[in-house]
Amino acid sequence: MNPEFQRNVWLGCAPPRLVSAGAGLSALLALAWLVNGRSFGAITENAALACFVVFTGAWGAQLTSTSLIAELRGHTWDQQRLSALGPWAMAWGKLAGGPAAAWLCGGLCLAVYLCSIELGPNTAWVIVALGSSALGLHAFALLGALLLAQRGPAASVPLSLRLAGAAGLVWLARVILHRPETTIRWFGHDYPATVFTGVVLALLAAWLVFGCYRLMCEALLVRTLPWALAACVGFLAFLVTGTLVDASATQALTLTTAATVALGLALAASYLAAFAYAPDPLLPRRLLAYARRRQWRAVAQEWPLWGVALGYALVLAIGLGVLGTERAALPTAWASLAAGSWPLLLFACRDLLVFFAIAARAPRGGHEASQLMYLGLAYWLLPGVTALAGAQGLTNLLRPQASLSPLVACAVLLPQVALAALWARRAWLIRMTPQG
Amino acid sequence: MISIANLSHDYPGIRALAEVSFTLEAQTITALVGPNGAGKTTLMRALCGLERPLAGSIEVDGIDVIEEPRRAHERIGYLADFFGVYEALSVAQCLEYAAAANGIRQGLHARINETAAALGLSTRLTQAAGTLSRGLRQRLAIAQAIIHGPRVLVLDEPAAGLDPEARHALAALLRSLQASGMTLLVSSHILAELEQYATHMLILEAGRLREFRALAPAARDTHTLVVELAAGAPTAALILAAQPGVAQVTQRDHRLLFEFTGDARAQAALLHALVTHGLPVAGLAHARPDLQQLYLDTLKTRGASHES
Repeated sequence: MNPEFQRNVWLGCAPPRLVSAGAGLSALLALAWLVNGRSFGAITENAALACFVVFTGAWGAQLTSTSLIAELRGHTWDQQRLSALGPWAMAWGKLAGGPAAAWLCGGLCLAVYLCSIELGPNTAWVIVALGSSALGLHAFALLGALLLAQRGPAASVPLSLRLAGAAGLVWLARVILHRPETTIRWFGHDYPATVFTGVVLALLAAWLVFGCYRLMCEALLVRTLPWALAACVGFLAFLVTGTLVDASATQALTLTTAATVALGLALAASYLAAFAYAPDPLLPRRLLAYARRRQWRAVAQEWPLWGVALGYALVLAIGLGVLGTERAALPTAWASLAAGSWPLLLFACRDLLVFFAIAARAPRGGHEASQLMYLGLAYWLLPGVTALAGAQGLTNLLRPQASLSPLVACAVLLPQVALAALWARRAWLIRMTPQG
Repeated sequence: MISIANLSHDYPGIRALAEVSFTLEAQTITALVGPNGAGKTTLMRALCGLERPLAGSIEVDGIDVIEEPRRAHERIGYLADFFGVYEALSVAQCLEYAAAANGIRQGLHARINETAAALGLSTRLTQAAGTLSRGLRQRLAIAQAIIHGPRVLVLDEPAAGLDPEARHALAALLRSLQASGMTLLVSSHILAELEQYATHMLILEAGRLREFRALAPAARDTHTLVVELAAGAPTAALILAAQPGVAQVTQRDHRLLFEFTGDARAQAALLHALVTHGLPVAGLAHARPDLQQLYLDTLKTRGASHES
């Protein structure tokens, strides 16, 4: 048996916890059964689903993140990192073992749910969708904890993140349960909504679990090459593209759509990664040292994720340039994205360099608020003020409008990127200067 | 057993380790000493594969720690200065997890009992780790670090917070681990405690290696001896240095410290010769080097050479 799974079960399934959680859940479900006239029906069905969301989803996510955060607080994380357990064993040991008690409760909820509904051909897919949602939520919580672990002994996963996760699960449950008869059109073919949703949720959960594995590799200093983000962006682009094109779409249009969606996702991923990862001011020095020694594999392995995402965005922007003739056939919003790929890439470069400079100037953390303030200033406040003052030229300098040609927008943005790069370099040099 | 070459590590604005190089032979106990902030913990963490250094190489038992940290971990045991134990688990569960997580599958329970016995924890196996005293927790943490039979054991301030009796037991334990074939690297601020078991001393200061030397004599029949004189004798050092088997004589007041090569019979002959030369010998004994003095002398010498 995986020792990490076993240890989590020892800690998580202690008899007092199992008895109290089981008793509380049984009381709630029994109450629903009584209210439903001492029988199973709509009330027990909804109660079972609500309990699944709360016990398996929300509580399970908390238990999963605690399986790592408790290590940090208890100073046992280094001992784990020093064990011979591989990243995969460590990741699934925590994912399955941490919320073991929550899954036991979930089993009870699903049993009551199945007793309350008429079993049909899609019932199995509803169960798959619910199970995948809970697993995905647990993986999301572990991802958050692994990211917090990079910032030292973390307090806990923020309440807002937990609430967002629980709300997401409720929404997903609604989507699954209230559209049993509808279909979803994907690449021009109709699929039963329940089956489609179940498959998609299972695949998304698998990606989140894989994300946990990759972050665990980082935590255990196991080097990996940065292909996973490209694969994930590719998968999501494939998924979204299917909902945008129909069976009659040409291959070029399908490719253009997929590339445009992937570009949007890669740019979003670059911002997300910049916020999620703890800034590492030593990284540029390490990368330079590897480059001097011509250790290119090490450079690729340690290249920051936001930089990897930007790299993919660059490749996709070049690809869109090659496929440019099909842009006109895209829906309006996607067509604008495709047309503005180069300016958008430069915007991202400018913003991420500014993020780096802000993080370098805040050695004790707390840079996220400043970075959000910068985004508010750059995209809303300053352009808003200049627009109100009627200074359209100045507004274009700060935030080039979509009406500008991409070439002009790039000309406006390139000096800003250069300035941001200079600022980032200066802030980094100050941070790295020996003190005292 | 441990080979470190040109190891450098940075923190923002601080060079924690600057091109540190040394090699530790198997079955030695090396005392890692240095002022606060010298880079001792960083060196130990990098050696264990818990930190990725800026440059340099680290090999443990022929394995590249930077490239293959997980493989190296099978050969390393580590006790951090701020260690933790799973407070809700029993001592036996803690040891079972540590053993299984380090790949022990066969004879798991025999290994647990063996390790618990070695650390004096046999009667505590069913007790929750959170209820143990500081000294017993320390023993449990060491037991967790050695249960998989590592070739190298790295201990960061293992004696911190222990009472004198527990420190004495720790020293005996470390000597027995060395005798069983382990190579140990131990950091501590309590130099008198390190004297009891260290065979080598490694001094770090401001991230640089200041001194690395053997404390025990290289040859089996070479000993560090001390002659106590009852009164001052200006020619004592010269007379002593002229005797066969005597080398590196240093005099401090009425004490003469020297390296002597020879067996018990030769020592008796030396004592007879000193008395025959009219020296007022009050005693002849084996001496362990004064680690504290050595450490302070090294830092002072280096400080003076930097000033000049």
